[in-house]
Amino acid sequence: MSIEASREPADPALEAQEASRPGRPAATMSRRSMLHRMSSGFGLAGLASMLGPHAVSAADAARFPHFRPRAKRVIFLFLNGGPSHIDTFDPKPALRTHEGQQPEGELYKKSKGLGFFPSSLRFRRHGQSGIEVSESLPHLASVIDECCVIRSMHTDVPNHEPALLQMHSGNLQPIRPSLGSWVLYGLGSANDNLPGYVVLRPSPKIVVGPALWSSGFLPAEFQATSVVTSDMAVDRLVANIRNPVLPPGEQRQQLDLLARMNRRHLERRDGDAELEAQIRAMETAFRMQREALRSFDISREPESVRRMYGESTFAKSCLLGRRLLEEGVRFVTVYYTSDRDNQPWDTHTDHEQRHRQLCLDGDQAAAALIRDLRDRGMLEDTLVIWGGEFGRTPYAENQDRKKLGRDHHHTAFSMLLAGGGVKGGVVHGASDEFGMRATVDPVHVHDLHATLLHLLGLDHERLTYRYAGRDFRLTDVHGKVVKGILA
Amino acid sequence: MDDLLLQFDYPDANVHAEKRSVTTTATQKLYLLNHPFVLHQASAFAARLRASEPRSETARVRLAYQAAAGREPEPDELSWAMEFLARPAASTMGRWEQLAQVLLVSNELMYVD
Repeated sequence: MSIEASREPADPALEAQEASRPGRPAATMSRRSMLHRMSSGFGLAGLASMLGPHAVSAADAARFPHFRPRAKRVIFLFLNGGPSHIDTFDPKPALRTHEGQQPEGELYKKSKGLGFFPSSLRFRRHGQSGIEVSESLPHLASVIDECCVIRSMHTDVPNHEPALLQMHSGNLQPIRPSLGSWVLYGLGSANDNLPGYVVLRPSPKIVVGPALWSSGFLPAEFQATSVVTSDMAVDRLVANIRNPVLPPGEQRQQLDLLARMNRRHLERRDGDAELEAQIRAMETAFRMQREALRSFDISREPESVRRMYGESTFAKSCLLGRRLLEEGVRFVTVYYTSDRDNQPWDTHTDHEQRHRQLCLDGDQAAAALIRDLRDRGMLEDTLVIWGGEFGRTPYAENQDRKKLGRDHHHTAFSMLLAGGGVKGGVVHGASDEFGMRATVDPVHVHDLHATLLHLLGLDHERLTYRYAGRDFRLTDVHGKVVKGILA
Repeated sequence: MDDLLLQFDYPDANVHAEKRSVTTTATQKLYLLNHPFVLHQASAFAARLRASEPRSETARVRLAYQAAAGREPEPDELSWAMEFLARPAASTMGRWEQLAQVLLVSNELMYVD
């Protein structure tokens, strides 16, 4: 809470005059109330009530869409480690005819393996759009007409940490606000009783860690509420959500007393807006206990829905994500990690077998989410993103034929988008014949970010925050909205 | 970083921070309502009041206000507190502990003008 922006220095002469006014003891005239009355006073109070419950924060100035939004909320299914594009959405038959040949041109790292390593997976055309999808993703293939496949993604560095940071914050190094924080800063939360930005992660350990969802230099109200989903019991999901001893009825009586006392205190402070906000936040917290216990409880979902998503922690997290979106959470990220492996898609060895295994799980839940959102009429204003920090090399990383793996690959990879004002059943861009480089309509991470903000009604060039003496943007000085995929 | 510090705007140590940003969120309040640390402090405060010299409930409420707010309760405030203490409590947390918590998390104590 801050009203810094509206606080101008009071005129010292007026201050002295006010303080010395007869009949008004100086002790009751606080510096804060003085500043309020002199500089912002009634004007601000009026504005605050017009703008509603969020109007107290200075940062709220940014909270409005710049133009009509197509998406109201986002869910990012993040496949930690980097899924292989040529085994999912980017078929490259040329790799078979050139199998074993060493890649040419500039490489980030010299190829020391067996050369081009074609996917063993069969690709078939699906849906009315006829988009080719690998046989490892039968479920996503069944909803491909809802999806936009970007085959020309690229990022700056093929290492996990910088690439993760770039995908999450637009910058290779830490400290910048995350995507979700920018969105919340731009649009505010759509539900007063739940956090606006929720991160769901199956395991506590994630490469880079909380910097991926931090609010950076944006105020802390825009940080994500991070939830470890390995145990789906509601009390364990949300910190402090239930009082260990007090039943709600008794706590309500306790809060009634507190509210009375705080109101009296407020009267004695001339209705200070910050104190008012504190009183409101306490009431929100009380309601949040009831709301969250319901929203975070996936056991309330019908059996058929739970089956559609699947049994894994990732699947349950996707289902939880949908519940939260439904309740008005603005931005949800679901990570694909496990206790055994904090970046499972990082298949440096045994790629074939591991990739298939991962898809079994990741595919069903992602497709269920898209179908579920569609059936509820939510897909049109919910943007679903499926992808990782980069792709994987079309050539083998190692020499051992039995354990062939793929290395990190940043110059071409695929991402899947669905809903939220994105065209369905289209492929955007292309990589070269080997899947080495994005050649047709390349989409940089900055472009993806610009597009995402655009879909939410935010102009990435105008969504700025002043810090350390300059205005910062999610896209820094880059980013072009990918107009071709807008519905 | 520690979740509690994050919750209350502690700046990330990896970033230079010209000032601490100030936010008001419901999750901060959930901490004040339900976290074991806060409940423990409320019990300790209530125990201190119970062990104090004055024996009457009114005198203890006055003492509680003096300890928490550095002032006497206004007549209204005193009667609200007495009313509250007289209500039956079903939970293991007694009304005195609840009152102690209310004083500890009240705006008057939490926010210095």
